[in-house]
Amino acid sequence: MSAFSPDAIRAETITVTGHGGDEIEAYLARPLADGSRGGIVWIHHMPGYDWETKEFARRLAVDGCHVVAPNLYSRDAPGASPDDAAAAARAAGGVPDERLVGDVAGAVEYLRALPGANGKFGVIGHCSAGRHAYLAACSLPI
Amino acid sequence: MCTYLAEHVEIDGSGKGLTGWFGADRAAVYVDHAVHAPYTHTVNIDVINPELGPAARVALELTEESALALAEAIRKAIGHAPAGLTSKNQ
Repeated sequence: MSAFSPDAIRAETITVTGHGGDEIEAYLARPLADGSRGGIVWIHHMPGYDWETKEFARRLAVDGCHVVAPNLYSRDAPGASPDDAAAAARAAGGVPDERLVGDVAGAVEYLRALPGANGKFGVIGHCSAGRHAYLAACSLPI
Repeated sequence: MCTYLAEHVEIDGSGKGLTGWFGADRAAVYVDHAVHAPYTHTVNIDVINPELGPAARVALELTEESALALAEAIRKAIGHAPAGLTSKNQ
Protein backbone atom coordinates (compact mmCIF):
# COMPACT_ATOMS: atom_id res chain seq x y z
CA MET A 1 0.00 0.00 0.00
CA SER A 2 1.31 3.43 -0.92
CA ALA A 3 2.32 5.70 1.93
CA PHE A 4 1.03 8.76 0.09
CA SER A 5 -2.50 10.09 -0.03
CA PRO A 6 -4.09 10.29 -3.52
CA ASP A 7 -3.76 14.06 -3.62
CA ALA A 8 -0.10 14.20 -2.63
CA ILE A 9 2.02 15.61 -5.44
CA ARG A 10 5.54 16.74 -6.23
CA ALA A 11 6.03 19.76 -8.48
CA GLU A 12 9.31 21.25 -9.66
CA THR A 13 11.25 22.87 -12.46
CA ILE A 14 12.94 20.40 -14.78
CA THR A 15 14.73 20.38 -18.12
CA VAL A 16 13.39 18.55 -21.16
CA THR A 17 14.93 18.05 -24.57
CA GLY A 18 12.86 20.07 -26.99
CA HIS A 19 12.91 20.89 -30.66
CA GLY A 20 16.30 20.57 -32.30
CA GLY A 21 17.76 18.89 -29.22
CA ASP A 22 17.57 22.13 -27.24
CA GLU A 23 17.44 21.80 -23.47
CA ILE A 24 14.46 23.88 -22.33
CA GLU A 25 12.92 24.71 -18.99
CA ALA A 26 9.69 22.97 -18.01
CA TYR A 27 7.50 22.44 -14.99
CA LEU A 28 6.69 18.92 -13.82
CA ALA A 29 3.84 18.02 -11.50
CA ARG A 30 3.05 14.40 -10.64
CA PRO A 31 1.26 12.38 -7.98
CA LEU A 32 3.41 10.75 -5.33
CA ALA A 33 1.23 7.68 -4.90
CA ASP A 34 1.99 4.66 -7.07
CA GLY A 35 -0.36 4.04 -9.96
CA SER A 36 -0.87 3.89 -13.68
CA ARG A 37 -0.71 7.49 -14.92
CA GLY A 38 -1.66 9.22 -18.12
CA GLY A 39 0.55 12.11 -19.19
CA ILE A 40 -0.53 15.63 -20.10
CA VAL A 41 1.50 18.33 -21.80
CA TRP A 42 0.15 21.66 -20.61
CA ILE A 43 0.89 24.47 -23.08
CA HIS A 44 1.01 27.98 -21.65
CA HIS A 45 -0.79 30.88 -23.28
CA MET A 46 0.75 33.85 -25.10
CA PRO A 47 1.27 35.93 -21.92
CA GLY A 48 3.74 33.36 -20.78
CA TYR A 49 4.97 30.56 -18.64
CA ASP A 50 3.39 32.10 -15.60
CA TRP A 51 2.19 31.28 -12.10
CA GLU A 52 -1.23 30.23 -13.39
CA THR A 53 0.37 27.76 -15.81
CA LYS A 54 2.11 26.04 -12.91
CA GLU A 55 -1.11 26.06 -10.91
CA PHE A 56 -2.94 24.28 -13.73
CA ALA A 57 -0.19 21.64 -13.79
CA ARG A 58 -0.41 21.08 -10.04
CA ARG A 59 -4.20 20.79 -10.20
CA LEU A 60 -4.06 18.10 -12.87
CA ALA A 61 -1.46 16.21 -10.84
CA VAL A 62 -3.80 16.25 -7.84
CA ASP A 63 -6.37 14.69 -10.17
CA GLY A 64 -3.94 11.84 -10.89
CA CYS A 65 -2.03 12.79 -14.03
CA HIS A 66 1.62 13.31 -14.82
CA VAL A 67 1.94 16.84 -16.20
CA VAL A 68 4.75 18.68 -17.97
CA ALA A 69 4.41 22.34 -18.96
CA PRO A 70 7.29 23.36 -21.23
CA ASN A 71 8.46 26.98 -21.19
CA LEU A 72 8.04 27.82 -24.86
CA TYR A 73 10.02 31.03 -24.33
CA SER A 74 13.11 29.33 -22.88
CA ARG A 75 15.16 30.29 -25.91
CA ASP A 76 13.79 33.82 -26.35
CA ALA A 77 14.33 35.07 -22.82
CA PRO A 78 15.98 32.57 -20.46
CA GLY A 79 15.55 33.60 -16.85
CA ALA A 80 13.34 36.60 -17.64
CA SER A 81 10.08 37.28 -15.84
CA PRO A 82 7.11 35.67 -17.62
CA ASP A 83 5.68 38.95 -18.91
CA ASP A 84 9.03 40.22 -20.18
CA ALA A 85 9.67 36.86 -21.82
CA ALA A 86 6.26 36.98 -23.48
CA ALA A 87 6.96 40.46 -24.82
CA ALA A 88 10.32 39.31 -26.20
CA ALA A 89 8.72 36.30 -27.86
CA ARG A 90 5.95 38.45 -29.30
CA ALA A 91 8.47 40.93 -30.68
CA ALA A 92 10.30 38.02 -32.31
CA GLY A 93 7.11 36.94 -34.08
CA GLY A 94 5.93 34.31 -31.63
CA VAL A 95 6.72 30.62 -31.30
CA PRO A 96 7.34 28.94 -34.68
CA ASP A 97 4.93 26.06 -35.26
CA GLU A 98 7.70 23.55 -35.94
CA ARG A 99 9.46 24.48 -32.71
CA LEU A 100 6.23 24.15 -30.75
CA VAL A 101 5.63 20.64 -32.06
CA GLY A 102 9.22 19.66 -31.27
CA ASP A 103 8.99 21.00 -27.73
CA VAL A 104 5.72 19.15 -27.09
CA ALA A 105 7.27 15.97 -28.49
CA GLY A 106 10.15 16.36 -26.05
CA ALA A 107 7.74 16.82 -23.17
CA VAL A 108 5.88 13.65 -24.21
CA GLU A 109 9.12 11.68 -24.22
CA TYR A 110 9.89 12.95 -20.73
CA LEU A 111 6.43 11.84 -19.59
CA ARG A 112 6.85 8.46 -21.26
CA ALA A 113 9.94 7.77 -19.14
CA LEU A 114 8.31 8.52 -15.79
CA PRO A 115 7.60 5.59 -13.45
CA GLY A 116 3.96 4.53 -13.77
CA ALA A 117 3.46 6.12 -17.19
CA ASN A 118 0.73 4.16 -18.99
CA GLY A 119 1.64 5.27 -22.51
CA LYS A 120 -1.41 7.50 -22.94
CA PHE A 121 -0.74 11.17 -23.57
CA GLY A 122 -2.75 14.29 -24.18
CA VAL A 123 -2.12 17.97 -24.73
CA ILE A 124 -4.08 20.89 -23.31
CA GLY A 125 -3.87 24.63 -23.83
CA HIS A 126 -6.14 27.64 -23.85
CA CYS A 127 -6.17 30.91 -25.77
CA SER A 128 -3.21 30.90 -28.16
CA ALA A 129 -2.25 27.57 -26.63
CA GLY A 130 -5.57 26.15 -27.82
CA ARG A 131 -4.25 26.50 -31.34
CA HIS A 132 -0.93 25.06 -30.22
CA ALA A 133 -2.67 22.07 -28.63
CA TYR A 134 -4.60 21.42 -31.84
CA LEU A 135 -1.40 21.72 -33.86
CA ALA A 136 0.47 19.32 -31.60
CA ALA A 137 -2.40 16.82 -31.47
CA CYS A 138 -2.56 16.76 -35.27
CA SER A 139 1.21 16.45 -35.66
CA LEU A 140 2.22 13.93 -33.02
CA PRO A 141 1.07 10.39 -32.20
CA ILE A 142 -0.67 11.42 -28.99
CA MET B 1 -8.25 35.62 -25.99
CA CYS B 2 -4.58 35.89 -26.80
CA THR B 3 -3.35 35.83 -30.38
CA TYR B 4 -0.24 36.63 -32.32
CA LEU B 5 -1.99 39.67 -33.81
CA ALA B 6 0.06 42.71 -32.88
CA GLU B 7 0.92 46.05 -34.38
CA HIS B 8 4.67 46.51 -34.49
CA VAL B 9 6.16 49.95 -35.01
CA GLU B 10 9.71 51.24 -35.21
CA ILE B 11 10.22 54.08 -32.76
CA ASP B 12 13.00 56.51 -31.90
CA GLY B 13 13.37 57.64 -28.32
CA SER B 14 13.93 56.37 -24.81
CA GLY B 15 11.99 54.62 -22.10
CA LYS B 16 12.55 54.09 -18.41
CA GLY B 17 12.21 50.50 -17.32
CA LEU B 18 13.14 48.28 -14.42
CA THR B 19 16.86 49.01 -14.73
CA GLY B 20 16.67 52.68 -15.70
CA TRP B 21 16.62 54.56 -18.98
CA PHE B 22 17.30 52.80 -22.23
CA GLY B 23 17.17 53.65 -25.92
CA ALA B 24 13.94 52.23 -27.32
CA ASP B 25 13.61 51.30 -30.97
CA ARG B 26 10.44 49.23 -31.19
CA ALA B 27 6.92 49.12 -29.83
CA ALA B 28 4.23 46.48 -29.97
CA VAL B 29 0.55 47.27 -29.50
CA TYR B 30 -1.90 44.42 -29.05
CA VAL B 31 -5.01 43.19 -27.24
CA ASP B 32 -4.38 40.39 -24.78
CA HIS B 33 -4.86 39.33 -21.20
CA ALA B 34 -3.63 41.77 -18.58
CA VAL B 35 -0.90 40.74 -16.19
CA HIS B 36 -1.55 43.50 -13.65
CA ALA B 37 -4.53 45.68 -14.64
CA PRO B 38 -7.80 44.46 -13.07
CA TYR B 39 -9.40 43.49 -16.40
CA THR B 40 -9.59 40.26 -18.37
CA HIS B 41 -8.37 41.95 -21.53
CA THR B 42 -6.58 45.23 -22.13
CA VAL B 43 -4.82 47.16 -24.85
CA ASN B 44 -1.18 46.43 -24.16
CA ILE B 45 1.79 48.48 -25.25
CA ASP B 46 5.39 47.31 -24.99
CA VAL B 47 8.12 49.87 -25.62
CA ILE B 48 11.23 47.77 -26.02
CA ASN B 49 14.77 47.36 -27.27
CA PRO B 50 15.30 43.68 -28.13
CA GLU B 51 19.07 44.21 -28.41
CA LEU B 52 19.21 45.02 -24.69
CA GLY B 53 17.25 41.98 -23.53
CA PRO B 54 13.75 41.24 -22.24
CA ALA B 55 13.99 43.58 -19.25
CA ALA B 56 14.46 46.63 -21.52
CA ARG B 57 10.72 47.19 -21.62
CA VAL B 58 8.17 49.78 -20.60
CA ALA B 59 4.78 48.11 -20.44
CA LEU B 60 1.26 49.53 -20.37
CA GLU B 61 -2.06 47.72 -19.92
CA LEU B 62 -4.97 50.07 -20.67
CA THR B 63 -8.71 49.88 -21.16
CA GLU B 64 -9.67 50.76 -24.71
CA GLU B 65 -11.19 54.02 -23.49
CA SER B 66 -7.96 55.08 -21.84
CA ALA B 67 -5.84 53.83 -24.75
CA LEU B 68 -7.82 55.93 -27.20
CA ALA B 69 -7.69 58.91 -24.84
CA LEU B 70 -3.93 58.50 -24.61
CA ALA B 71 -3.60 58.39 -28.40
CA GLU B 72 -5.67 61.56 -28.68
CA ALA B 73 -3.64 63.24 -25.94
CA ILE B 74 -0.42 62.43 -27.78
CA ARG B 75 -1.78 64.09 -30.90
CA LYS B 76 -2.94 67.15 -28.93
CA ALA B 77 0.34 67.51 -27.06
CA ILE B 78 2.29 67.46 -30.31
CA GLY B 79 -0.15 70.00 -31.74
CA HIS B 80 0.47 72.39 -28.85
CA ALA B 81 4.16 72.65 -29.74
CA PRO B 82 5.71 74.32 -32.77
CA ALA B 83 5.70 71.98 -35.76
CA GLY B 84 8.79 69.81 -35.90
CA LEU B 85 10.02 70.69 -32.39
CA THR B 86 10.18 67.02 -31.37
CA SER B 87 10.90 65.62 -34.81
CA LYS B 88 13.92 63.45 -35.52
CA ASN B 89 15.10 66.37 -37.67
CA GLN B 90 14.48 69.04 -35.05
